[in-house]
Amino acid sequence: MIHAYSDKARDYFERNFFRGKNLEPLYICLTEVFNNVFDHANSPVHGYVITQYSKSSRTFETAVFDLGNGISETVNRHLKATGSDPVNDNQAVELALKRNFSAKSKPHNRGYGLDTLSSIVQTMGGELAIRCNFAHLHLDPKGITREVESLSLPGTLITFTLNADRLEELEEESTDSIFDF
Amino acid sequence: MEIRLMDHVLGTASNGDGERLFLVLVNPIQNKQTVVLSLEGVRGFSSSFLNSSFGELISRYGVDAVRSGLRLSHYRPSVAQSIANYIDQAGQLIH
Repeated sequence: MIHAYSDKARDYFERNFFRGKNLEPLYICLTEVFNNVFDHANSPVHGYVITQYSKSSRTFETAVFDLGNGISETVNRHLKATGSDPVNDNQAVELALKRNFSAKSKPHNRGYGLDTLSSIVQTMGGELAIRCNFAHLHLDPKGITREVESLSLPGTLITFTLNADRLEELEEESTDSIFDF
Repeated sequence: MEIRLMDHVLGTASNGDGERLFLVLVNPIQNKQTVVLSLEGVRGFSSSFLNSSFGELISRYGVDAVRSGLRLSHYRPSVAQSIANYIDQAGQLIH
């Protein structure tokens, strides 16, 4: 279940390291990557994940790997289906990171997931790397770098870090007012 | 009508749970009833959850029907604002 790992990771780090802090950025990043795997990857093993907190660098470090189609292949399959020209692996990953771009593997997909992930990583002063097929895209506060790897990676590996010093205080629930849109 | 979200979903991360919320809200919104959705215990949402719940409601009934039929209680301000932002953005894109 997508929420189980995300819930447990958030609660574990809050309870043991960051009582009173809001670890929602970590929770949302995990759920966005997991949903991306389940919606698009078609991976025979779903995926593997590890999250750790480094006290020395005060960063959360997460890696998620699946053995599915790979983001670039999924994007190019969508481009072909919609009559567009194919792009190289790094360009495909950059497309996937754009808000509102979706490969539409599922009807509800709207292209918010990976954009949300990269936005949170940037807000939290972290780094994001995506490796699939020959693509290796890396985003950090200095910008974006693209490498073409010599070996093709089956599936997709997403790693991201979040700076714990950017965590905000946990808000209290408002119990005496109604939020009106 | 008041509905406590966490009585109907396991979490707020997956499409499946978003679809469960959609099923809870669809009749009241369709019938122009006002729903007060309690976010007690809710910390945040994935975009997939929002797409499958509020996004689907907006697709079917329009952004105005969702705005006018929905209220939030027991909310953390940033969590309520994330729904408001989603409805604003989805309303511009979903027709």
